[in-house]
Amino acid sequence: MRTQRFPGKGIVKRLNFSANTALYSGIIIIGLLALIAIAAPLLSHYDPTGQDLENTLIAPTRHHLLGTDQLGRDVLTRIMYGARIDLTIGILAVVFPFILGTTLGLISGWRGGLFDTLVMRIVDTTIAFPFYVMAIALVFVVGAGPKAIILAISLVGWVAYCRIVRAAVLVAKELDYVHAAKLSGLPTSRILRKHVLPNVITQAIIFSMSDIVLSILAIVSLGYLGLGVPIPTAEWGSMIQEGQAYILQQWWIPTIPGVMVVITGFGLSLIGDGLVKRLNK
Amino acid sequence: MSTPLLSVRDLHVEIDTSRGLLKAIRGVSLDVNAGDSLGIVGESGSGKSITLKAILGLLPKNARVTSGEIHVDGVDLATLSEKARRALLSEKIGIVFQDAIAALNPVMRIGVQIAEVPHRRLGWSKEKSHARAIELMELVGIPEAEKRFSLYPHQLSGGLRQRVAIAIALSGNPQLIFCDEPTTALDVTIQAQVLRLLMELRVKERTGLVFVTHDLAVVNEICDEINVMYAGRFVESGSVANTFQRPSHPYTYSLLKSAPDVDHQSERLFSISGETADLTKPVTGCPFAPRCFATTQLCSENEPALLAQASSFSACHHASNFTEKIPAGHFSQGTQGKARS
Amino acid sequence: MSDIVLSASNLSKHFVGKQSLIGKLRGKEPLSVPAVDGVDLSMPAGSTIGLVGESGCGKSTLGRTLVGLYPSSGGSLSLFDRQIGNDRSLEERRAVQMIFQDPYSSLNPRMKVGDMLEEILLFHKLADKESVQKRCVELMELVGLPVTALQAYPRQFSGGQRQRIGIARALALEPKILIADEAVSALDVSVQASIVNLLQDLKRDLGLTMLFISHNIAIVRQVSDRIAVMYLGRIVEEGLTSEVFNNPQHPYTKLLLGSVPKMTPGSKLGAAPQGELPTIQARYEGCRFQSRCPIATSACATTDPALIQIGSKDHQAACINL
Repeated sequence: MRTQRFPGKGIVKRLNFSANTALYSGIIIIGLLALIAIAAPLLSHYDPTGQDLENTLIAPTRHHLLGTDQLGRDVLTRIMYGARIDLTIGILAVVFPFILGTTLGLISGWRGGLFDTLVMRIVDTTIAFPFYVMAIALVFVVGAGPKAIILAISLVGWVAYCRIVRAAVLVAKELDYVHAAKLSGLPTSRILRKHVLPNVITQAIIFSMSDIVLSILAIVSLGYLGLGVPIPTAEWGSMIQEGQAYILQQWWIPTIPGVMVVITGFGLSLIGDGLVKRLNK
Repeated sequence: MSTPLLSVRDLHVEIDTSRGLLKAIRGVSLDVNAGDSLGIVGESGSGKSITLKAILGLLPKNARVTSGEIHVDGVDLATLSEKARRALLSEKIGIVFQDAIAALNPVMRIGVQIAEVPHRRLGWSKEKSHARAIELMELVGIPEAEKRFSLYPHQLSGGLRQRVAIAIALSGNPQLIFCDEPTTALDVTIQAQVLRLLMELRVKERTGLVFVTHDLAVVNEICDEINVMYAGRFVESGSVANTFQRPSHPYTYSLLKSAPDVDHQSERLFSISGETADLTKPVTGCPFAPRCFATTQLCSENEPALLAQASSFSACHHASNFTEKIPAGHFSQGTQGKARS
Repeated sequence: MSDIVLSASNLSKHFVGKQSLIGKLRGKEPLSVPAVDGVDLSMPAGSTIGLVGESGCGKSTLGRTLVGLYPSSGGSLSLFDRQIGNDRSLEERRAVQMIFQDPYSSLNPRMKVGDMLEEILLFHKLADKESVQKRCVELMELVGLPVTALQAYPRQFSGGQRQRIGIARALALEPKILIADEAVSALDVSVQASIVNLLQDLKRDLGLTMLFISHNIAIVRQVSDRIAVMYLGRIVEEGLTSEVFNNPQHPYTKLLLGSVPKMTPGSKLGAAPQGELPTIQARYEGCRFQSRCPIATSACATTDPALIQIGSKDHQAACINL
């Protein structure tokens, strides 16, 4: 199972910024990362997979700001292109479980009864299933690549949203403003959409921020295990995995992708922290 | 007259809030003697609970006493070390809070909680403390004390829990009990039992009472003296009998008339317009002036001091003649109406 | 005698506890708590009935069953002489509305006051797109709030103002009956008075019938024409306010009224007997009040008393020893 601890979270807790400082600095960090990812072809004239076997493993120079790897590929370029893959998959792997989990949690909490029992049993089963075992199995079925990763993370990830939203609905449906909406005869679909959902979704949104980090960590871990995005595509996880052989001489090759993961985690945690403070005000 | 048991002089408390510095208490003075029964009445945010907490040194982290003197049994608390101050306070003063379930330790048998003070602080033997706990449980009217000694708080009803809290407050033989809305969470028949218990203790044990509440009728039932608090100050202080019959502050008058009385049905309740003063802003003039029916130019310029009037102390520029300005529809069921009963 | 707008006959509401699968298989009866247990209550048009009792007596459950938030478990309800079931039509829902206790949890924090009112006005076709704004303004004036309130979120208001918004929401549906469940209990004394006055004015001006549920007996006396006293799921005494207060019959009513602190100078609380509020049981033998009753006899242990007429007056009580 994926753990709740990820790089950057503890630091954010300790910094204790005000809501706006945290939110805006988080948005700036993630915005910059996204900008770099989008503008990667403009920022670098190297090919992320283009090998230059005459210039392998060189230290940072003016031409290669972060040096090159064992195949002479520019590390900075690979980092930038890697951001594209990791951020995209990270976000997609949260959007699907978010929608699925929130919907199921909303209906489950509101209706209760057999449907609720059924959903909660599926939730329990999913939690009990080891994540990486399932991911590996899926990779063999679907084939390595972003699809398998998104599928694997989605199949597990919805559980958290379902539980968060269901718990919030159980509280909200006993609140008097929901009773008042019922008394005014509004149809259930409308009560759920206008009166329940806006008040229960905040926790899910806040969680989704840290969930993106967890997804990226999962992608990176799968990449490290060789089950992620197939090589030679630039991806932070496989970069760490390939670079670990050179950690003693060219330490920056595996370290810098790791630092990128930390920065991403830090930025998203700041956004999450800012949202918590602002929405709970 | 000997030195009072508790004497507070010009107490000021400030609280840091997200909206800025809140001057929660702006100069409160009071004296309590053995056997006294003093009520502090006010609405939420008036500072009544903070006053008790400040005296007891139980203020939350973001609040502090900025000036004022507190003497307990003639000893200035400021001259004592933290430890000595705690020892003196817990020896002289027992406390009963509104929320008995939060005041009791959920994983400790009630009898043991009551016996704790005699055993640990007074250094009594286990057997003697146990006997004292049983005695206290009987005193506060917990039936079958011996059997209930080893129950846990959640096994008791709300009324019994509050009795346990009172027994704990009494366990150190205090000369004074501070009550912070002790009956607000209780049902009316149980409230009556607890109030009567407190009245009996006062007679039997000569325990002084400081009773903080928003309920005027409760003050009328169990207190001899009343302090009406508004915006961090006492605006009227006097005997309950005088104040209820002839209030000398428009706020007291308004409160008395806005509270319905179970003995009377009136055409219409008196209502106070507006909101309570925002104490994060500096106070100019009388803080009640914007809501007062008798306000004049003077009121918005000068904050009145608490001064002696015919029958009580009042902080109103128009203490002697504000009754002339009582809105017409309300005078008919005013003071004369009350005097009839 | 005026017309009855809402009446309950032998109404009950039992809360059935969750049952384990094993319990079900063994055919065990699930735990059932009769919060309301055979209540008869009639609400004459234009009157205010005060419903008093201590916590756990079922007064809130009764209110919520009358308004349709809880389905009833037995007995019947009629609205304007027509039986209504647990599935109410929109018309029937509109006719009975509720004002809630907690000014904080009773308003959707993520909806502007104006949007909230518009939603129900448009849904019930009580206004069209052109007139809805005008109707919202009228409602604000009715409850004494500035028109600017429509553009604000609930958190921008004080407790008393929120209670006014809650009243406006109920009135938007043009109900005939208002059920006020501890509607002023969470407010400060001075604010409480203004909301009580507002409710009394609205009731008079709009010709509403009101059930005023409260543990605060002094306020109930202030607002009500009739009083019903509830104890452990039953109404034990009912009648004109002046009758019940000046001439209480049931020993529980006497205990309750004697326990209320009074504002009269020199008053000293009556001798409240020892004894705790019992919790509701699934079944009772005889009278429910016998454990605390000062005048209980051996007959009370076997007879379950029904409400009986007291003298020739509009007043009834459920006690066999009267």
